[in-house]
Amino acid sequence: MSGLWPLAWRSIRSHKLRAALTAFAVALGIAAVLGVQLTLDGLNSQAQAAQDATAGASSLDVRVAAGSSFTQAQVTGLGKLRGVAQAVPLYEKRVVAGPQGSGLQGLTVTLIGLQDGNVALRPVTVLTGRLPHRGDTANVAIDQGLAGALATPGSRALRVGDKLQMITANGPDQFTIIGITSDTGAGPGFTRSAVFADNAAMLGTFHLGLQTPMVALRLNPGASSSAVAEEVRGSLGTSLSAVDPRGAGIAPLADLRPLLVLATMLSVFIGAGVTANSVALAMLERRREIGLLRAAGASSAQVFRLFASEAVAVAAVGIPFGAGLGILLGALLVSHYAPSDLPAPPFSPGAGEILAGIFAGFGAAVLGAMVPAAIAGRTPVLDALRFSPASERQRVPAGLIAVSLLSVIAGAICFAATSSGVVALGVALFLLGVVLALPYLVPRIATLVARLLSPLIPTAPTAAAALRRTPNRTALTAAGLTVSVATAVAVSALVAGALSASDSWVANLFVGSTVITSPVTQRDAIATAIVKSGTVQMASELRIFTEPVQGTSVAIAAIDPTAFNQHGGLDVTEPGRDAAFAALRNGPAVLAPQSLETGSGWHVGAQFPVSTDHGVVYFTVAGMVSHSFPAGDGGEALIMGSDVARTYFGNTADGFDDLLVVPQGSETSVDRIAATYGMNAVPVSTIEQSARDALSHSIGVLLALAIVSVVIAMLALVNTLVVNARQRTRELALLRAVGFSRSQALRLALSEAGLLAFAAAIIGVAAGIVVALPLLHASASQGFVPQFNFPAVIAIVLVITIVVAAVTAALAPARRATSISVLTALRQD
Amino acid sequence: MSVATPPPPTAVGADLIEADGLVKTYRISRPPRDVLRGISLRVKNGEFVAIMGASGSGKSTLLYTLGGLEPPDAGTVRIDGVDLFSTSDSQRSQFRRDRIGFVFQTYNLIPSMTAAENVALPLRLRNESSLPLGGNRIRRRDVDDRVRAVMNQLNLHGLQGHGPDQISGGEQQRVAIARALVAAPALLLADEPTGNLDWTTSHELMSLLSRLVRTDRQTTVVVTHEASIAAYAERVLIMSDGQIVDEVRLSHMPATDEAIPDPAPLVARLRALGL
Ligand SMILES: Nc1ncnc2c1ncn2[C@@H]1O[C@H](COP(=O)(O)OP(=O)(O)OP(=O)(O)O)[C@@H](O)[C@H]1O
Ligand SMILES: [Mg+2]
Repeated sequence: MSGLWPLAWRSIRSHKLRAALTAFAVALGIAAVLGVQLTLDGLNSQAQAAQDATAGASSLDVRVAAGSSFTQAQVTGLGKLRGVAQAVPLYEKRVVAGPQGSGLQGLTVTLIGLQDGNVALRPVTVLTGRLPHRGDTANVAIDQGLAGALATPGSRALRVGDKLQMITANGPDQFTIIGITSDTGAGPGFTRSAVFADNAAMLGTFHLGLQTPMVALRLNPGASSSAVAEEVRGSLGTSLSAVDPRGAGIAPLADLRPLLVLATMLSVFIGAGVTANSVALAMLERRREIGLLRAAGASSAQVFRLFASEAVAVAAVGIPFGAGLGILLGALLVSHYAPSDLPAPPFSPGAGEILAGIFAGFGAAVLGAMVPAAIAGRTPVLDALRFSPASERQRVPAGLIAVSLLSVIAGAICFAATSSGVVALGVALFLLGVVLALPYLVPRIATLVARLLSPLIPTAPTAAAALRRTPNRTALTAAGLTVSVATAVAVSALVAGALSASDSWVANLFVGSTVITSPVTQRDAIATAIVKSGTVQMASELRIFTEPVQGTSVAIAAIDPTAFNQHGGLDVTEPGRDAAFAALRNGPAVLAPQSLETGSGWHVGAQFPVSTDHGVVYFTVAGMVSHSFPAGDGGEALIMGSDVARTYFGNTADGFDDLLVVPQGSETSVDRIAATYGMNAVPVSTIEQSARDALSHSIGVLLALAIVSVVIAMLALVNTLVVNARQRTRELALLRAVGFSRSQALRLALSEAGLLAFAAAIIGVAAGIVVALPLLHASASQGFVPQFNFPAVIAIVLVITIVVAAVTAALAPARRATSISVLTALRQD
Repeated sequence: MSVATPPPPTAVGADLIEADGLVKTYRISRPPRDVLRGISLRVKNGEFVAIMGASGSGKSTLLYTLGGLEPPDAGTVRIDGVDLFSTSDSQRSQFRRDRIGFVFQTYNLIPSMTAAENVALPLRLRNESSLPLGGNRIRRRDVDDRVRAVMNQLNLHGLQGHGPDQISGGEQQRVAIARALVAAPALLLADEPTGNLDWTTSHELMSLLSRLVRTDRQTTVVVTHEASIAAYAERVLIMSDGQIVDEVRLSHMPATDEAIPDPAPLVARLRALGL
């Protein structure tokens, strides 16, 4: 570039604002890609770490049906299977526990055996103190939540050093608490009300009624968990379940990923559009230069290289800023989305990711610049030499409207698809079609609006005429704005729809208006005590437990069907409420959430075998509910009558985890009575709000990306407005020569900016509405049907902001164009 | 000249430009406008030719076609035996760079470059070009020497570092001529080079051109609508409505540099044609 590089460099220097805005657009594009990429990676590794923590060293969890237990011989047998390195049994027992001196009163807790500080190969997280050593029969560690729940009314939570009383084979026995554990550390199989004792104590003091519901297997390197699972069933029968605890890989923000990718790609495309626009503007301003260069013998490749190298240089400036901004964004988002109860993973962006982000953002920008640069290179020499900006009149390429229509139609066809990938493709095609139609749409809409505005702003029609003369540039400028506004509107509609759908989910779930939640499973007697205290009108017990059903562990919510039938709660979709709840009262029946209907083919009348305390019993699906109570794994629980549950699952189904109440009198008296038993009273409205928060939290990042796109697109608008004003200098001077006042000329320039921005934004709003409908449809699932709500506030705020920003941005160049003397302006070409 | 050595010059008196049957129609307007209607012409090596005619008669179009800027609808242009429009666009660009110099009426100079940089442009383009046909690169010092020599020749000494907006219109045109000549082209084409200049400056510029023709045998074609400018040429082609309607040979005295040629015979001829 020895010959032409100085030209490129000087052009950059003499258009500092444009170069800066373009570099900024490229930086934002890179930052969007990098930020989202790093966020997803960060959340993935966090989820991975969380899963590793819950699975520990176990590669396969083997469980037996409720009520039954592995024998010692079976455990030994499992350890001898091919591929198994170690088989660790989980010893478990339900005991009544209380603080020292509480007699035989207390809570039902789960006692869990430790082997070398691990539970079934999982490490236990210790908050304070330590775990009992091997062979220790006098000390225990207890869960943090249990420590609070075991406190006698009015006293403090149990601490390290306190004594805990539990019922052993010899009657009440005292143990010293030497550690407090965290409820998230011990994995999914262990209830929140755990007391940890060493296996020596389990096999000694507590050996009566000791259960071995699970054996964790550590496999030899290279052994496949599914092959071992097959062996396990072969040797011990099919009534057990063998599950790979790492198998259920949950990806954070999984539902949003396709949309996130789409939104990120959009900001990259729009960034590329800004670069393309800025090269197009440079080409416009230097048409004469192109002609001179070509006449002096520059080849079209040389002219292309001149403009391309300029764009590459400007875009390259954006790289460090984009990388820095992206890393910052990723760090912020990861800490924002990380569940607060998990240890924050170290945020370590890899060089590969950073390079990929830069490659995408910078590459797209450079590619975008290639188009106008190639056009610059191929400009006919005479056109370039004879060009005068004042008489510029662009023609829309023939056939564009046909391509645009085809694209819109193809997009609309894709909208009808059920696969969300196809719908996303449809959205992309539709938006492409809209963008291609912009050279027709923007000038026409601007003209229409100008005609409506002409009584107020008499200069508007003249401004619209100016936009009509340069439809291509107008469209290129409007394209980014239209697409980003469409994205923002569609995402907002999605958010609004999802929020109202989630509201109706939570609102129809509970009976009563307040939920008393407990960190441990409470005894039924406490529910009776609360009802008798006179603080509640009605109380209904809810117990959620898991049982293996057909090889997988399924969450079951035991409810009181009578209370739900009388007081509402649960949205029964079929058959009627009365019939459904009556079936729950009368025998082995469940209500299934609709999410299971599509997922696993559950339907009313279906029967499935469950091994219970009374042998294998066939349960019937007696009805469907739109939503059920959330199970711990993110799914929804089956609903069962509590009496039925007790009959078949024994004391597993005893007691309650949540008490659904209608307060009598003030809410605070409920709070107080709940606190007396170590529980929390939470209004249903608060649960609704936190469900909303969780949802808007995750969709918020999409909206943020859309707003970033709008900002990027505004950069292109500013660049164009500056050039438009400069190009109009002579025309404005001519108008002033024939009697326009300076302020009229200024108003003309400003109304051109306002019209362009308004037309682009309003087309974006319309396109966003069209795109939102199929997206909402695609995001709907059984029982989760977000409705279309026009996000009027967002749309209006966006349009007004964009128009105001455009007019403001045009103010300085328009002032300059109108303040220069008529004579000087006319002498300029 | 050690740099940009042209191919062995065509013998003086041989045809440098051979244009045959040039036709050009612009279809944008209705009815389509025939701007060139079958023009054929010859220009000899070392000859100084002027093209005259009314505004819109097609002078500029003819000149740009001869220089390979605008392809004709029909007809051929050969410069020094090379059929311009049978070669590719990039070969034509290269030919322009090395063999043809252009001067326009206004805005000849690239505003972001100094006078010297404008002059050096064709040589720089040649160095920058990645085409294998570009020949040897020219060393930077040779470029500087050549630029200085051409600028001195055109009395532009001392203006090297000035930007186009810092020098007068006449100086701008001389810088443009310097640029056109820097690669020692076979052919110099000028479209109304004096169109924006006052009388004195115009004549200074024209006598400069005619001196170049006389001393360096620089083949030159100038488009103008002023008889007093055309009178500097040895031969004047008169265009009307896309055709060459007449040709006037002017004999010059073995003149001194300052002599202003008499346009009277030319004016008389134009008047006879009713132009
Ligand atoms: N790119 C073009 N598209 C359409 N018409 C053109 C184009 N270029 C030139 N013309 C037309 O061709 C005709 C001849 O133009 P040309 O510039 O050759 O005339 P000219 O003799 O140089 O006139 P002048 O003395 O005014 O420069 C003009 O009528 C012009 O309108
Ligand atoms: Mg002309």
